[in-house]
Amino acid sequence: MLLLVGALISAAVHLYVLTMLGTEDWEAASTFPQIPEMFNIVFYLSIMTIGVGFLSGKGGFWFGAGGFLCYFVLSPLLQYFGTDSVQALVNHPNAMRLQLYRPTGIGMLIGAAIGGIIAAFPLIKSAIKSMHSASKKVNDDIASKSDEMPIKLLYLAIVGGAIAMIVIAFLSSSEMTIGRAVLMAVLGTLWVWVAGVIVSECVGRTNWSPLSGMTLIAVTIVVLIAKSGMSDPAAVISSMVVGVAICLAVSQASDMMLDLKSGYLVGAIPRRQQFAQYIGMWLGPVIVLVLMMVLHQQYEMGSDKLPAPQATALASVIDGIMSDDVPSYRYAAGGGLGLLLAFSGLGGIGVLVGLGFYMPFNIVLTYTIGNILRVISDSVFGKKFSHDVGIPFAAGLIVGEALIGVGYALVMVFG
Amino acid sequence: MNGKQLAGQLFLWAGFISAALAATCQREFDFLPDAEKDQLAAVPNDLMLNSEQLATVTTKKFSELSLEELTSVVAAVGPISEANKAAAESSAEAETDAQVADSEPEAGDSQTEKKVKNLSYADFEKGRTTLIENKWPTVPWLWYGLSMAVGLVGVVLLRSSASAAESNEGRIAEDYDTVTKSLAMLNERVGSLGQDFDSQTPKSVVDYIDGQLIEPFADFAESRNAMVQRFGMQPYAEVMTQFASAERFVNRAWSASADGYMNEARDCIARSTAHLQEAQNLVTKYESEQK
Repeated sequence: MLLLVGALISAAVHLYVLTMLGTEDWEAASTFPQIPEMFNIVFYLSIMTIGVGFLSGKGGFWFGAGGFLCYFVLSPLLQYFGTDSVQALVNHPNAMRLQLYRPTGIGMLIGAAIGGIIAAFPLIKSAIKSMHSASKKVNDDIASKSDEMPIKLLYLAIVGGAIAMIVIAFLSSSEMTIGRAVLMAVLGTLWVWVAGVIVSECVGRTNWSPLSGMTLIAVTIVVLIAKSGMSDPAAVISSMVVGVAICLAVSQASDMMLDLKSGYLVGAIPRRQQFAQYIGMWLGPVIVLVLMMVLHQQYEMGSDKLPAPQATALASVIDGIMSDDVPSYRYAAGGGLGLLLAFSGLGGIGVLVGLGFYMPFNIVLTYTIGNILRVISDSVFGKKFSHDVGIPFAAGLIVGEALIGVGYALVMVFG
Repeated sequence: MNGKQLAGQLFLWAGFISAALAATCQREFDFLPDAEKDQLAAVPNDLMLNSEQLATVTTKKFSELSLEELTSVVAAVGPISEANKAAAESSAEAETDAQVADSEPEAGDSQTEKKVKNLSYADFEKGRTTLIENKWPTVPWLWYGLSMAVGLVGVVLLRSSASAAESNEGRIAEDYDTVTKSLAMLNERVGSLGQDFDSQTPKSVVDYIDGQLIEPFADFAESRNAMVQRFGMQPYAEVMTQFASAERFVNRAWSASADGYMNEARDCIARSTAHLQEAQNLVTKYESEQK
């Protein structure tokens, strides 16, 4: 019932926003001009985002803190400590994000993830050893029955995945050499691991995914390998093909992590969940490819009716790399910041603060409302109330807006 | 929070903010020759050119225009029309980091027209800064390094404070006591649920799990690090493998009971009991090895 009420409220509000307001954001500065623009107080008018923030609760605090650090701490300080050109930019928050905070945030995500892996390495090693010893047990007793996929399958999958990546890279262009294909595949496979950790942690803790940023880095890595010794078109094509494979692998990794987490809570058997995932994973790309082809024929990709912002962003990144214009210095500086937080021992905050740097602040602000409501609900009404009332209602908020979004898209396409 | 932790937090965040400032305090633009900067300064910040306007003045790639040519472009286009600005801004919303400065306008090429319609001052600046050979000085590394050093002092203080807390014998003993007590409690309670299962209803199983098992599971998980301190990482991982399986089967029993599948719930409770017993055996084994 609560879920239904939440869904109806969020559906009604989203419908109003889409049809009556004509904008999905509310800029505080437009109503209160005395608020400096550098604070970037723009709320994303999405009740779903409040619901998502409520579900994350305190866990999403550092994600919000990352955004506040940018616009409430760094921007005001940069007014004094930045160069003239940075000072001139401070009151253009979107430009600040795209030029300064976002590349730094991407670096932070990578640095924090690598730091997290290093810090957790002894535990990862022990867990794998423990899985090994469990797989060697031949007793018939009930506790020895493994509910995990065999550990050997993990090794087989790593080798098989790398080989598949080599084949994909090698076949992507007639100019591709086997050495370059191997290099692209090995680095791509390593990146799948690192980016898988980043995306899984972000989605698990905040429900927001930096998949596009991780894909941009993947493409950067493979373009840098491809462009030394291949013509520009061949380098771009092969990088895109391998980059897409990496992107899909990363998204599958994070999806699997989320499924296993939800599955644990309801007691699902991991082996069966993984099996279901394996046999179903081909379906998504097939549906999306067919859908894209139909939409392209109908409206033309990149037209006003069917803009392709992520594709444009990716194209611009590739353009930048081809002309040696990658903000690697900012990635490196961000990487150091991420490592610093990762080694601080403060519960994996590096990835979350990095995500706050990376994401648009309008989403962060609205999401923070959900976090605050959860904290208030927990402390005033108790955790039981939050679990029994708040969570189903918040889930309803997500469902309602999502359904209206799908319905609205269908009306736009077929209406 | 003790004094060491407070100092650690202060050093960490002071270093972090200072290093983040260093990472963002300069732009590539700052490394252009002064003459170019001056000329760029004369270009309106809200310059927006659509493909038609651009085509009337030049067929060059936008980023390849010299400053003189840009000036003539600006002069030829004249004041920026509101319609053009609105169109450019709306397409810029679709992720403005899409830098499209290198599109060459060609007559009749609809893709190109789409790409160049939001060419703006920012694109031009980007085109100029692309030509800078070494952009690494964009981050003042000395400032950044010193700030990171301050942050590292914070990390060391926080780590040593956490390690002192973790190796505190009294705390370890207390946490380990919680681990053994909650494990024993779980063994007893899950075992007794299994024994009396035939007399249970779906609702009573759900209530029993909610009321009797959630807390000891949470207590065990909360204090689990005491096992790392006491036995090391490998024994900890082995106990946790069994414990996690036990918890998962209790969760499954809850779901199955809530849906009315009592046979499934009975099997799950039996599996959970076996995993908890195995966890208990492992703890006993490592305790005796220590002695």
